[in-house]
Order: sequence, then structure tokens, then C-alpha cells
Amino acid sequence: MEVIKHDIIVFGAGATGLRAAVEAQRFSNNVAVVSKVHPMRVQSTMATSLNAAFREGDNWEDHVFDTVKGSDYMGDEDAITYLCEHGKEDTLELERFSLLFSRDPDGGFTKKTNGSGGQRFPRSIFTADRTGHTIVRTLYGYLQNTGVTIYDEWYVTKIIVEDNVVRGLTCINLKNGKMYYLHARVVIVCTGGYGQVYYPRSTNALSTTGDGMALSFLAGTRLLDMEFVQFHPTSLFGTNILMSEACRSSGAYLRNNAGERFMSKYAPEKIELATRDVVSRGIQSEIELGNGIDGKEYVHLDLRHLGAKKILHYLPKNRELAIRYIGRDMITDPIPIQPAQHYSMGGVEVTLDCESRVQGLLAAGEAACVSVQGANRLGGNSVLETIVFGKRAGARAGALAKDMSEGRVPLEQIGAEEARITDILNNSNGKDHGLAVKRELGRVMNSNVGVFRRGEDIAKAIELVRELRERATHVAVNQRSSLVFNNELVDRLELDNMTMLAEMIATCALNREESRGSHFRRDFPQRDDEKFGVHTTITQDGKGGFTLGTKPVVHIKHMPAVRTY
Amino acid sequence: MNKPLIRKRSPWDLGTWLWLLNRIAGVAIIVYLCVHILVIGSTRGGADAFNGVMNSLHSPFSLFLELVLILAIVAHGVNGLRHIAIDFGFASPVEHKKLFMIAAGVGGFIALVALLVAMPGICGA
Amino acid sequence: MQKLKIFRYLPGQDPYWKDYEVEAGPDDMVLTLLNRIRETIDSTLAYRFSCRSAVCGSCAMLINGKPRLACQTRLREVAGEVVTLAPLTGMKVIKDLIVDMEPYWNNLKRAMPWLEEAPDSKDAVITSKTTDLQESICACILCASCYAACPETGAQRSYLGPHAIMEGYRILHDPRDTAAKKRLDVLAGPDGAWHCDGAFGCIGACPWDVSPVKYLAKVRTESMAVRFGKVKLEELCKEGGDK
Repeated sequence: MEVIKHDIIVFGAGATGLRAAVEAQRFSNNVAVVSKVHPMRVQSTMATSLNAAFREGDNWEDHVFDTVKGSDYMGDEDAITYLCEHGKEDTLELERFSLLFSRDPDGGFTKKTNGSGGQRFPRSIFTADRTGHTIVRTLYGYLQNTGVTIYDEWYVTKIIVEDNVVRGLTCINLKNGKMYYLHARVVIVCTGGYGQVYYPRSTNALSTTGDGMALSFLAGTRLLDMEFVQFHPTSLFGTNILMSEACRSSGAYLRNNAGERFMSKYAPEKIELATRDVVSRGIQSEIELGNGIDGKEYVHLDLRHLGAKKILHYLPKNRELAIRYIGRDMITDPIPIQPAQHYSMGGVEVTLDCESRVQGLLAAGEAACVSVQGANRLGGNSVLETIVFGKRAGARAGALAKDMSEGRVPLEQIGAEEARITDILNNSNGKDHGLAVKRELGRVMNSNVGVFRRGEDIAKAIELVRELRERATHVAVNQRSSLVFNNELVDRLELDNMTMLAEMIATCALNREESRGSHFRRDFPQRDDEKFGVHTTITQDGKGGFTLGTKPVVHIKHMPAVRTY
Repeated sequence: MNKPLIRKRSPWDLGTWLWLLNRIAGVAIIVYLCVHILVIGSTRGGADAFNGVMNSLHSPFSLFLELVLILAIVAHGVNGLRHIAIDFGFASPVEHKKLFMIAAGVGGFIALVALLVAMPGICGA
Repeated sequence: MQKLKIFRYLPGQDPYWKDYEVEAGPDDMVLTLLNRIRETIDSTLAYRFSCRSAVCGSCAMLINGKPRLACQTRLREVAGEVVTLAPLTGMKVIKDLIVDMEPYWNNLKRAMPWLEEAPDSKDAVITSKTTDLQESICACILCASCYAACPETGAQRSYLGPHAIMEGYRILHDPRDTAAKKRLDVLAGPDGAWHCDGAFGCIGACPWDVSPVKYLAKVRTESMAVRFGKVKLEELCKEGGDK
């Protein structure tokens, strides 16, 4: 395997990874980014806006409180404080990279009507409803003028570690079919969430399979809060493509079969603008009560009262999506929507400086858990996290890389990994198709570890996921002549990661016998701060499995209180 | 060493044919210009030389070539006007097909007139 | 059930067409059918995909001969008993429906897709005039459909391509940018907008109706206006351009 040496490698080329790379290259002239899809194809392109407290009349301390409450008091207040305090500065700094946020004719930043779910002030800042794409495009453009090397369409198979110090990444270059080892002093994991574990009922891109999270765990980091899976209330029925929260913050209503705005039952004050977990549970409850449209598994998102002008101004792309993917025009028709997996609150445990327990291995963004999002994330805070902590991780990596030695190239481990991949390529004689196993995994997770959970269902899920983990090792690789875009092999490797993460999600969900944020147990419907007001940690147990533990939550000014909307 | 596999352009629709036509017409006009310079250049040999060359340009084949020239000029010119209309905002590029119809109509008409004028010379005389 | 004829190619071997028949409804997207084939019939089929919602640009391919996004082309929109799927033209085929996008990305880089900012640009006034232009151009998801449809582009040619020129134009009209002259030299230069000779394939191919020709036309007219002294280059860039 060819060895290529860098100082800092960013694993993942989404908003977090690109921002980290942009920052890291200020400190080092040997930075690389590696990603299994091209930077312009990442899931971050699907994001619509981000939040920051930058307007007159708003202040970041309010944003802290909104986020702490939104997280159902599971978010670490020091991390949240850092996020909100630096929100304005780091967000507006993006404009230096050729991005421009939408403005009004008078030059002020265009405002959405209301704050997004769970926020008391309109904090959104955006470029039409394509902010994610614009951030990625402009950061990618910026990187073209730096010395950063981008290894796009390289699939990372392992994070190699020696004596708890990171060494580098073994990768398959999908374009030429060769394997490479990328050696580094510091690796930043920015690979996003694990959404496809809930395939197909996830708003995530099909490429979002949690590889970085899983590989970091296998490299020795701890994962945190895996049980907290965010279900976004408004995904299009059928394709589960996201109808952005911007619809609701622009004034949309949710209606059941009887035409009622049923959310007033579940969130009397905020109604449709309660947090995502509250709204998802509201919709799911209505569906289970039989109040879905025509008794089916969806309700209506109604924007007709907003009028064509407002819709065309604020929601042009969402309207296009609804027209193209479900054939309805939000100006004249209600849109069928249902909850779907959307965000992974849990991830690699890191400090405020984005460092994990493995020396030289950092993580940021959705792949990490600092924890900023706690048990539930507010809309717009995810992209904010990518920018603020992407930047911080890049800066930290730059400082670390100066101190850390290059380390030796771990030839034995590289050889072993090459042999492992070659073996999978040549000896996968099973009959299963990777996508079929993925679908089965999604079915198990959606049925048993979804919006509403119950102990016995989760226990069943754990058993089924273990079987699927075994079944994944029998996924067929029929095309054996090369590794070039060998999606069978990639499906198999992704499944190894996905099934492991799924088992963790279920195990942690079973362990947490309370309801908090997005984790709702029918058998334990109350929040229990005394027993469960702590993070759930997951570590390798040394025997190929994992053990659970706890970690205290940081509370500074805002102590856990009753959470209603 | 394997030759890289690059598939030929598809589809060949109206726009692509116009593009090709413009190229061919342009080349044809350049060829004509060279010939024209040579013809005019024959004046260096005096009146007789020039007249000799001019006489040979009355053959049916020459008239046919002149017709081709007119068609080329019409095609290239009308296409060019189409471009200019779009560049200066007189027409929206999204409606390029409609614009083509107008261009084709004008061009076709001129070409038809040219054909009718040239036909007798090419076929008989 | 729907019949499909899909282009298959392994590096070093001869390409061939493979026939498939898969369950399908008229509202199914082509990408859904590809996934279904990969899930139930032939898992060796290789194609790019990511977001499945027409925003990442991965799945551009020739569907019945026209460059389109597989994830937003409904079966009912593609006439015929057999749907033909082939990789984009003008770029080297790596495997099955996947092409080598290196020339496309390199061309984007040549158009200088980064801001060269003046130290005092904090005073630059930015209004909706500029951001409207930004938004229109950022509707482009860089899927390469226009690039494939254009007869001027190609792996062995030097034309930048509509995507690169649009991106360059976007930053040209950023009031904070100081590299306007350099940019215009590239955009209206030997590899730039003057290559466009009216094939207009880009208009039909763009999944988001961005119409690159509009911006190519603007590059041409603006570069002429600057050359003939009708407008100063600095004024041009401060104005934010026309949407």
C-alpha cells in the first residue's frame, strides 16, 4: 500500500470538515481532506439555514437558554455557551469565503417570520433555502486556492492507532481501485451522522452511514449519548425528503384528518413551533390514533394561507421539492408529511477543544458529541455547530500538529488491513445484497427504536441487529476484478459500521429508563433527573463488545427544570 | 495501454445541429474569402488575367458554389443575429427554439430567393 | 414492470448494454429503480448517488439520451418501453455509469472560485441586488449536466464550461472582490464565454433551470462594455449585476 504523509488529515468533507480544513491550513501547509464522496456531494448541501444571535434585540445568552432547554437539559452548558457566544462572529466570518447571506434591499440580513422550533427569536441566517450548498461550495472554492489536498471518493476503511496515539487512515481510492495509507499527526473526524441506519425512513443522504463514528470507536474513543436520535417532524411521505423547518417558522400549520391544528393539544404555547421531538411525537400520536389523513401514516403541512408571494420568496426550493417529489404545490395543496430520522445527537466524545480520548484524534460536527445538542437539537443549531466547532477543531489540530511527532508508519497494521479488505473482496460468497440487508436493518430500527420506544421492543431489536451484523458478513461481492467503485464492497463495509452503531443505539436506549428529549419510552414516560440526568457513554470492553457507563452533564446557570412548550 | 472510453455527445438536437451548421458555414466563408483574394489578386496579371478568371466563374459549377456561399452567409449571419439578440437581451435564451424558428424563417426565405435566382444559371445556360 | 437498458463497463474490458426488468410505478424516480436493481437483481451495478433529492448533483447521467438527474426524473417523464441509462458524455467513463469528473472540477478551479478581498472591504455595501444574483447562481448544484450537453466542452478541450464561468461571474460581481480584471481575462478569454456558439444544450439539461447561457451572454456583453470604455470595471462589480 502506498504511504502518503500529511500533518493534519480531515476525515469528511462536509461543512465541518471543510471549515476545519480552512482553519487548519492557516497553521500547517500539509493538510489533506479525505471523503468517500466529492465535497460538492456531501449531505451538508441539503441544509437550509443556520442560527446565530446576531440581530438587534437578540443576545447569545438567550440562545444558550433556548438550546439548553431544547436539549432537555442533557446538553453541556459550557459547550453550548461557547457555541452561542461565538455564533455571530463565526457565522458572519463565513462571508469572507465568498459566501453571501441573503439581504434585503436596504442591506439588512433577510429575516424569517418567526424563530424556528423552540427558539424565542428569529435567529436564522441563510442564502435563500440553499445555505448548506452555498457554505460547501464557497469553502470548497476557497480551498482550491490553498495547498490543501482533497482525496475525494476515497473510502476510509480503518483509523490506525498505536498505543492510543493516532497514526493515520487506510483508504481505498475508489477511482483507481488502489489502497493507500494516509499518515498524519492529527486526524479530525467530521463524517456526520448515522442516518441510513434508519433506511429508508431518514431524511439523510444515502451516503450517510456513520463510518467515522464507528471507526473512531474501533480506534478507542468513547461514544456518547447514542440513544438520542432526532426525528424531524416534516419529511415528505414516501421519499422522506426533508420539508425544512423553515416552512413552520414561515407560518405553516399542521393538520390532521379533521383539519385541526392538532399541535395545540401537545404544545399549547408554541403549537407548530415547539421543538422537533415534541412535534414528531405529536404527529406520530395522531397517526397512531388513526387521525392521519384518510387513516394513513401521514398528516398535512398546510401553507396555503401564506399566499404565493410569501411562499415564493421564503420557500422556493421547498416548494420545488414538494412539487417534484410528491406532486403537490404548497401554494394550493396541503403536503403529506410524516416524522423521519434526521439527526444523530450522539457521537464521538470530545472535549471543548474537540479532542477525544485517543491522542491526536479529534472530532467535530454531527459525528462528535461535545455535547451541544443534548437530547434534542434545535433547528439551525447543527450547521452552526459545524462552523463553530469545525473552526475550533481546525485551530486545535493546527496547534497540536506542531507538538506531536510524526510517529512511525505502522506497517504491520497496514498490511493486516490490506489483507482484510482483499479477503472480503475475494471471498464474499454469500447471496445477500447489501442494500437488502440495509433495508432490513432500517425496518428493525424504525419499528423498535423509533419515535416511541418500549423496553421489550428495544430488547428484540438488539437481538435482530446482532443477527443482521452476522448476516452482513455474508453480503455478496460478485464483482471481484477490482476495487474501482466496488459498491458491493463499500456496502459491506458500511454495513459493518451501521450494524455496530445500531446495536449501540438500541442498547443505550434500553438502558435509559426515562423519557428525555427525542428519547421517549412508553414504559418510562417521565424524565428522571436523579437516576438519568447523566450522559450515556459507550466504550470497548476489550472482548469485541462494549460496555455502558455514565458521565455527568455540565450545568452552569440553567438547572434542569420542567420543559414545556 | 487502454484508450480512455469517452462517449460521443448526445443528444444531437436542434441546438447542436445549429452549432455545427454555424461552424461549417463559418469555415466555408473563410474558404471563400481565400478564393476571393486569389481571384482579386489575379488583377496583378493585368486586365486579361482578371477577365480570364472572371469568365471561368460563369460556369454552372461556379454558380452552384456561389449559391452555397450565399446559403453559408445566410446561415452564419442569421445564426449570428440570433446570438446577438440573446447577448443584448432582445430575447431570452430559454426561448431559443422560438428564436430559431424566426431565424429559420428569415434565413429560409432569403435562401429560397437565392436558389430561385441561381437555379437557371446552374441547370442550364 | 419497467425494462431498462443500462450501459455497463469495467476498466480494461469492452463496454456492453445490459437489459434489466424491474418493478416500477409511473411516479418512481429512475434512481429508485437503480437502487431496486442493486438491491434485488444485480448488486454490481455502479453509479453515483448521495442526497436523492436533487441538491447534491451526484446522479447526473444520460437518461434516454438526455443528461438528467436520476433522482428527479420520474418514469412517466421518460417515454418509451425501454429506458436507456448511460454515463455522461464528454468525460472518460470509469465504470458503468460513473465518469471521471476531474476535468470538470479542474475547470472550476481555473475560474478562480475564491474571493480576493480588499483589506477595507468591511465597508462594502451589500444589498439584495448582489445577494439575489448569488442566490440565482447558487441554484446551480454543479451536477455537470450542462457540461455534458455542451458541444464545446470535453476532456481534451480547454473550454472552461458553463458551470465554471457562472461561478467566476458570481464572484466577479461581489463588491468586495479585487481580482476583477484577472477574472474577466479568464472568463472572457480564450477558454471563456466566447466559446459558446449557440447550441444551448445547457438550457434543456439543467435540472434547476439555471440557464447558464444568460450568464455567458452577460460575460460577453460586460467584457465588451469594459473594453470599449462604456463602463469601468470597478463600477461593474460594485453594482451586483443583473439577476
